Amino acid sequence: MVRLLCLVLCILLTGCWDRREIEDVGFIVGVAIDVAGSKDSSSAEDATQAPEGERTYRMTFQQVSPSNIQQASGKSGGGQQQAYWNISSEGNTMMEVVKFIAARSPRVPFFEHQKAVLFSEEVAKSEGFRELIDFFIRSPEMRRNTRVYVVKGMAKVALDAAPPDIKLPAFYLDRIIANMEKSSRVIPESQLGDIHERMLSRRSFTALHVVPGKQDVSIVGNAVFSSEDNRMVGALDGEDVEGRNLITGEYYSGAIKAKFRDGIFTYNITKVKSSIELEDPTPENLKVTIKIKVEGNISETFEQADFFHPGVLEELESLIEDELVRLTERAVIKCQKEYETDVLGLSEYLSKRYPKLWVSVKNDWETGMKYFTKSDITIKPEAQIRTSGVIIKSR
Amino acid sequence: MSVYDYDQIRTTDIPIIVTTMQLGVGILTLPKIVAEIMGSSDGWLVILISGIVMLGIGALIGQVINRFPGQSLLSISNQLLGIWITRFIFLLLALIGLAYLAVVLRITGMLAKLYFFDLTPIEVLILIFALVIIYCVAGLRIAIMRICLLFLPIIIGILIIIFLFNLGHMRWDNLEPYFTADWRDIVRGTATALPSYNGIIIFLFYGYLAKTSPKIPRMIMIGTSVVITLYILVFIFSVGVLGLYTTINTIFPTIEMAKEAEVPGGFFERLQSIFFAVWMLAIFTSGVFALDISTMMLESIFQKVSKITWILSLAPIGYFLSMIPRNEVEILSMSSWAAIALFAVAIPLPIILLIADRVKRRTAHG
Repeated sequence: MVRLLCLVLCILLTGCWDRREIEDVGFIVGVAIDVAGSKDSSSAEDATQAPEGERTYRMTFQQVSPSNIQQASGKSGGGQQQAYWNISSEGNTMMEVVKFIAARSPRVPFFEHQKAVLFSEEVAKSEGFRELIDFFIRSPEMRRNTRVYVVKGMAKVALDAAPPDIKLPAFYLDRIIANMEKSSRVIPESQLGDIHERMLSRRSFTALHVVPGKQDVSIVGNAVFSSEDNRMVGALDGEDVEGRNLITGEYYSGAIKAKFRDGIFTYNITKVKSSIELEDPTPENLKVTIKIKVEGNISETFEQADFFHPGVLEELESLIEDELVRLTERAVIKCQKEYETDVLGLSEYLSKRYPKLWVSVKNDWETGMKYFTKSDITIKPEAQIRTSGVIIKSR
Repeated sequence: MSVYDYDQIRTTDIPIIVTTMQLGVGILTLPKIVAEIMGSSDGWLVILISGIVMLGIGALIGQVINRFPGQSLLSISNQLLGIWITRFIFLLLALIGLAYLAVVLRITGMLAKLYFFDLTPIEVLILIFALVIIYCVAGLRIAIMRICLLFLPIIIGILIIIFLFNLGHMRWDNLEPYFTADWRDIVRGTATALPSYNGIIIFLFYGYLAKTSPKIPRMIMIGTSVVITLYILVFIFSVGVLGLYTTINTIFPTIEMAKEAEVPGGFFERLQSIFFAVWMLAIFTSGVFALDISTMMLESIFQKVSKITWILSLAPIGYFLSMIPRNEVEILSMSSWAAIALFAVAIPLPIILLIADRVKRRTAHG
């Protein structure tokens, strides 16, 4: 009797509701979000009734074609198959569009390996950013370390821009960022988790600002989002970002060029240490001094001088310090006066060192009384030159 | 000498068993509930304080076991409190155990459904889990102890892996400002954190299986200290990696942390699957203890009814109870009620027993 029962129960083992064959899984590695354009509506059949006053967006999903990854290995000429497939659809909500593309795709969308979320500038500047990002943070399939980008122009173009030897554009973006630390100036990135934390704590934040080309993507700076309504309020370009990095101390490596007598010299920064000091705690008139200490080497100079002479070094160091002030003040003016967003780390500093003061000002930091905008930020730089390369003069 | 000669808990195994008894579903939400009530990273302090309080309880449990070596809780309680009070308390405990079983079943089903199973009905998931728990409880009690010995290294192992692979994401300045809590927050926080250590009381019910030894109280405390350390680490890592507000806002921050864990080079991308599979072991032992204690209590009261009858009667009741909460809010509410009930009824038990013992000894002399 028991044996009969076991035999019958074995029938239950034959199926599985959630069985997912690996070939049927559509790995989505990137999502681009644009505003719906009427000229591009190839998916009119997906049209659903838009709730009153709600906007329509066009989402593009980059799905991996696993079998084609091997083939798409940079051979110029015809017959090369792409390792990915960008599929678009329009709708008011993310979930709706996911369902639409699932209906058209031979594979079930799977978001666990998503690397990038790209918003077009237009969407970033609207309430669309914070409304649509909810899907990415709320879903159990999402990862908090997915990177968020703001794209100049149409976001979906970025999903096609990649050098010939990179198989998946979404991964290409990741690679650029990974190499950024070693090669050029570092532009602070934002991951979904960071943005979630910043939005919850009512702080302003930035995301990577990119411009896609035909076969490459340039990271041009940061897009700044305000804490008030989480919209993009402006952009920080290359030099602003450098200034900001110097202030926050998150500057891994980079170079500063400055005029020296009749030429230019390049100072390679190897170490940055920045510290914030609160001089005057009255909320209406906060005085903050930011001390920035940099260390570095002269890597290049047009004008020759005796770089072993302390006077020369001092002269150079003071020129560097002037340049530091120029860069940082640029960033301060942009963030403080123009965009009125605190992405310089001042709110973090206050909330950690002066929690009681922070509690009293935080609701009026960037809005209302605008204590951040009214505060007085002074930069005190200090530059050190360690070496001047392997020679003193080249001519 | 075969491994099946293990019919008494070795003294050195007690810390392992006690630790397994306490690790369960609680750790998944612990960072959130503590961060929420404290509003700052000082939650580690209340986790520590409540843990120290429970160390005391652990020592008392050890004392009770040592004063009545080899005797079942039924026998101890009958001697000290009398048959009718014992029956009353045991009945309450049986009901609480059943509630705990329902909570464990439901939370497990909910997590599995949320993170892994889209189409499989939650009823099926809970049924399967319940069947395995029944199978375990239907065996020898000492076998459950052996299971703890087997599972704990794996459970702690995965936690350590999650911590190590999250070190790169750890931002120490997320923990600032330090020490902003006032004594009111600390009291509230301690009250919130105490029920996380509820599992310690389970050992009182299995004390009769332990080899007699004066070291038992010490061993229980060692086991609890391990739990305290793990809880503090989970909390600090959660606030450091995810951020304070995110921790407060995430329902299961521990699982989100497992998602963040990264092996450089893209070696493991879905560490949370392994974490979840291993954590099933911990939740499974919680469920086993819940059902086993309910059974034990009812067996003690109604000695004519066989153990298997109780198991097969209680399990379906637990299953149906697990279906009662309608949404997450109700599940967590049921869970905190069960925790408070257990805390109110079971935790004072060793204290009551020891007081009753002292009273008896005094009246015996006088």
